[in-house]
Amino acid sequence: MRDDSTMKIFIVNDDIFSLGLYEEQIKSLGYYNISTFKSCAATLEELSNAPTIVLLDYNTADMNGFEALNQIKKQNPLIYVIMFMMEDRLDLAAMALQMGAFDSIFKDGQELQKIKEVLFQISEIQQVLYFKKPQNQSIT
Amino acid sequence: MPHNAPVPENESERLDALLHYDILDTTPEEELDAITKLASHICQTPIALISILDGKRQWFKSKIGLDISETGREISFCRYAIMNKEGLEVPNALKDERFKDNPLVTGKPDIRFYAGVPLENPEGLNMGTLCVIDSVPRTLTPEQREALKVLSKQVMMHFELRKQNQLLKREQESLKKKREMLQAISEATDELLSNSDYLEAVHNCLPMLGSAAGIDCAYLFRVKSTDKIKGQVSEQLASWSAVSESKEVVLFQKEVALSLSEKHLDKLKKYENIDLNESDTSEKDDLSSYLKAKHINSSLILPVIIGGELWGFIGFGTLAEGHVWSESELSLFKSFANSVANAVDRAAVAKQAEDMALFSLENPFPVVRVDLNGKVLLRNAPAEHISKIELNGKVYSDLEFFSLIAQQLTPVKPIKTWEVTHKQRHYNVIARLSELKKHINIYATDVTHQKRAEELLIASEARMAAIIQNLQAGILLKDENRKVIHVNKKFHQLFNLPDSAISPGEDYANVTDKIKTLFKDPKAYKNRIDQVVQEDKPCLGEELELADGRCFERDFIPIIINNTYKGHLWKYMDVTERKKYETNLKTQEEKYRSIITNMNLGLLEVNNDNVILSANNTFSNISGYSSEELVGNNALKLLGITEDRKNTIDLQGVFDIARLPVQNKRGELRWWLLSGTPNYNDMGQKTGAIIIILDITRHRKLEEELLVMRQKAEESAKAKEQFFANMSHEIRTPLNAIIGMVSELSREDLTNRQKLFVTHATSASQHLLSLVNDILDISKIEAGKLELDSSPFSLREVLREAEIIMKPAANEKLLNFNVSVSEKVSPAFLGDPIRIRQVLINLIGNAIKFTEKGSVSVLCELMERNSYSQKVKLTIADTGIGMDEAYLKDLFKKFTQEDISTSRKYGGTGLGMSITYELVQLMNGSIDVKSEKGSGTRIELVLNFTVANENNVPASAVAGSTESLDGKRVLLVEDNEMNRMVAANTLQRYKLIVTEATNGAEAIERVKETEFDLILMDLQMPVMDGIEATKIIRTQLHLTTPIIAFTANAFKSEIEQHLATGMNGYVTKPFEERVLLSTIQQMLYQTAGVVNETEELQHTKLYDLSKLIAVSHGDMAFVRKMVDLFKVHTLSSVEEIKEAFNEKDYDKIRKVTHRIKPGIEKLGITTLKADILALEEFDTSAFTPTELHEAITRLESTLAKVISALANEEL
Repeated sequence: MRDDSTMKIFIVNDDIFSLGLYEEQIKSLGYYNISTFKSCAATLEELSNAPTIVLLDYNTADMNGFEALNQIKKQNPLIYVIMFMMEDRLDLAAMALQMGAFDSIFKDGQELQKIKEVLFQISEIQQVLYFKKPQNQSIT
Repeated sequence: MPHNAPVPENESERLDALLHYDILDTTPEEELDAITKLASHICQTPIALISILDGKRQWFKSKIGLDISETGREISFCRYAIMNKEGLEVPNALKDERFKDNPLVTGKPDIRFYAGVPLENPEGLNMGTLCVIDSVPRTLTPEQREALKVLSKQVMMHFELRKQNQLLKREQESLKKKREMLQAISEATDELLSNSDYLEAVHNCLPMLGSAAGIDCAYLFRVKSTDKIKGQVSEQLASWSAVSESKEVVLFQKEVALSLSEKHLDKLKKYENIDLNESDTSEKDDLSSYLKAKHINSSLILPVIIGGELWGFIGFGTLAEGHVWSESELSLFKSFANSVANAVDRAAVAKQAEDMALFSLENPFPVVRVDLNGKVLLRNAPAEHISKIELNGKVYSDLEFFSLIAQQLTPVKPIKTWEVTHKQRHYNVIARLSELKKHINIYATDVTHQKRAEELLIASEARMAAIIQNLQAGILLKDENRKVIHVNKKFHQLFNLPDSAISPGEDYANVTDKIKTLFKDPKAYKNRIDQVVQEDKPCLGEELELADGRCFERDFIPIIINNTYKGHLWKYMDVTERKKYETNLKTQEEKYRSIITNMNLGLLEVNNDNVILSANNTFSNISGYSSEELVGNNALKLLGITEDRKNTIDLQGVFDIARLPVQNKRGELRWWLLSGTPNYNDMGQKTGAIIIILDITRHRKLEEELLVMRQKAEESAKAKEQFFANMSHEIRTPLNAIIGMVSELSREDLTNRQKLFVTHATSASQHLLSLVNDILDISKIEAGKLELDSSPFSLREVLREAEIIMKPAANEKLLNFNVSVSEKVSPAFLGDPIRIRQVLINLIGNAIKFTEKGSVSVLCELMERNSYSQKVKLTIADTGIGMDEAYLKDLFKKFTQEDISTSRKYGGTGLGMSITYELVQLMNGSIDVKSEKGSGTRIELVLNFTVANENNVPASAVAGSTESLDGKRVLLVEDNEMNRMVAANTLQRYKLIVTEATNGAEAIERVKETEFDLILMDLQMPVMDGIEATKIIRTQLHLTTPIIAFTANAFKSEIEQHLATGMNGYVTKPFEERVLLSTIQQMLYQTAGVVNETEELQHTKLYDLSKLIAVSHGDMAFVRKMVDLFKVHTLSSVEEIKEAFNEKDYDKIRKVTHRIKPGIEKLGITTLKADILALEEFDTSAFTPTELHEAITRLESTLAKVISALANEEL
């Protein structure tokens, strides 16, 4: 079995309270490899550390969420980006998906539950990929 | 001057003659000394001398009165005396000009007087003088002079005699020497003849000859063949040098190689001698320099010639300068040279003869000659140590073996051979009777090698045969005459022949006939065989089909040894299995190939530098580039993977699926799905990668379309929700009127019959209402829009309410109904009390409904607890009709009751349990039903609650009494006349003073005129709706009068929105009197209390940490941290919002609000919910700046209160 608790997760939010809240939630789900960022710029600099998942807020002070999403996807299209959106902005959420985001979460008070669901989905996808991947590449 | 001294005219003649006397430096002679004495005596002088005048000196042969033996010629008096026959007389040297300065005069012996008479030889040459000398001046008498002359003649005579004597003596010596030399040459010749080793002989001869000849050295050189560098080189073979005390010893090196000049060689070749002299400088070569270096001043070199060829030379030398070689020496040496030549020649011939003689015995193998009895006559060295000869398994000694040979040979059979073994070697022994039949020559030859080779050959042949025999292929070997040489077992097996059906020697044509019938096409088989044999070339891997379905592979290999055809080999193998496998493989491959082709999968093969090596047709189709355009190009470029992304999509590594937007040749944007894997060659080295490309542009489009559809679906769900909202409004409004009217009617004085009708009408309208409610609930659940509230409540209170509500029904059926709650259950939980009550009422209602007698009991127990949450079990048990097990499964399905009769008997929509189930699921709880037909039902409900602050629980709606409503002024805003009438009637019954308004605008007018304690406001009204009216009342009139919304809309989100606009509560239409009154009571009490309540109490209602605590899972440190964060950061965000407001930067307001929203929400600051929502989605068209400012002010003041309250919170 693949242990998904090692998945590296970045959280980007310029609100420290939200950062703490989301981090606590993700920790409680059993993931421990979590880094938090208060700006998109700092996040982009750390992308070389190959996060599996980036939880990105649409409204961060230093950069438009779509721009950050674009940059992340450019650097590594394999990263799962999850965008936090204003409530009921389906139009923006759809756009985010078109630009390669894995999913969107509306800030409607149900974020924590939604985070749990999305991480579970990603974990399942990873699981499938893991079993599809050739196990032994060693040459004899 | 003495230098001018005269020299006789014939001086050289004179000196030559002087040498012949051989007198210089000889010992004194008695006769001559006597004459000198006589002269001294006669002349009365102390000194008398016989002076011989040499080239540079005068030497005294005899002297009286003088010690010195000679003086220089230049100071001699004699040189004058020899100039004439008379001689010289000097009476006083001091007075003579010629001598006065002479050292002999000025110094010792102080010559004053001198008289000298020349010594004249018969040829008239003066050899010197006889002179007398005195140290005083004087003269000689004539007699004395005469006597001196006579005496000089006597001296000369002596000289002559002496000369004659010496000549004789010399001749004698020469004769002696000749004799010695002859002796030596004869001895030397003897030696050379007798000694077989000519070199040793020469060695012995050279000293004999040399000492006989009186020379200093002798040597023999051999002329060697031409040396590349030095030309013809001569090598010294022997040398000798005289040993003498007086003379220097000439030392020859042991080995010397010298070259001779052309001239010298020519001379020698012509039998000429070479006479080398020191003075002879005409020819310089190694030999000359070599001899010169040894101070051999004169040499005679003679050739040694054998068979007309120059073999070498013999040299003789002496240290004397200018030695003249005498005839006798010459002849002697020549004869010696000839002897040496002969000896050398002879030695060579002798050696040849000897070699010839020894030849046969030099055989490395044993050679033995025995007589006819086997006795050994002769044996060579290898035959010396023969013993233990093995012949035919028997061991013989050498002699036994020889006698055996001797016995077996007869004149009739004079030659015979044996094979024997000796010391583990094999020999071929040939014995032969000699010509004369006198002896037997035995020759043995070592044949071990051949023997071993033969053995190896036999072994290898045997091995080969064994291999062929056991080979898993049928082998048939034929010779050049088509005869079978070898055929193995497998061959027989393959062709189903008995083991020895084909025997070696058989003609192959027969074999072909035997086996051809087995083949599918025997004729073709035979023809092919003939053809193959005809062509005579290797023919490999030919496949043949057999009649029985098997498949053989055949090889034909001609055997060519040393370019000669030696037959050929047929090899048959059963490849049926392999063939099958290959066919399978091919089918498989074709299958996969077609899969790949049909899947429209593009394939790219790249090398390690990402250069495209090949691309399939599908990829060409996908990309628009032809295969030629692709090959050789960089794949990264083609795929638009720039340098900075190279790390993330490494074509060379194994990578997961990647989706890339790529431009095809036409410049269209296509989405490609890539996946790749490294490619390895047979050696395991990485040669590049294979990349699979799938064009997913369409899928991508679909995905986008799906999103749009999702959006539409959401919209349609919203529409549906709206529809239901409207529907419920539309249905409830008249229903409200009916219920109200019927209720009013029931209060009138009615006949019993009328009362019955009214009761039925009430029951029917209640049923209709619950049906509408249930349908609304279900539709909400289906739309996923049923959201649960999460607010503090008391479960105990909810149970009490349920009890109060259900009690009348239970009492009516005379059922024992009781509700008990465990003390341990927390007084306050976080949850949705309305929904919990709905569930309970539904379950209890069912229990009562289906129980005819007995009891219905509700039990609330605590199952588990920790500091922040409790697990509670609610058990509802009855003694009713129960259910079938089969029905239990469908219990929670919609619109089901156990049977139609049940429905008829008990009524109900069949939606109740389904809604209950969904609600419990939403609460993350569980519901378990146990039932038995006829004996009752037991339902266990397990719910998990977060423990909440008891103080935050709102006052119970049913707690208040109706008394306090007396005289309160109420404004009732309602457009529907019937509803208005019903509401007004109800209110008035409770002594409330009711003012009516038909729409919002009217309501505002009334509010302006009169002061009210409470406003009941319908939401949907013409002219001005309730929301707008509320806004105006709150924002323009600044009235805090409690407003209760009258709404037919039961959707929570909408209700919350109304609350946000400033309403304080709501009552759904059609209202239940009880609910309406308790809400009014609550509002009036609350508003009244606000003034009196302490600040703190107010604050406790401002926020609620239970949500945060729920997230933390009990980690209070985290809660503290989050609260601290909130305290520190929130106000600065509010400042930002204010700033943005001043700058009219609405986008920033939206952004910052969005940022702080989760914090406000998690801290349960519900009063700000509407403001936050408004600020986050702020739109200038929906809000005025004033409204915006108010919202911000509320935000600020509320947050400030919350933060100061949080500071007092103990966590």
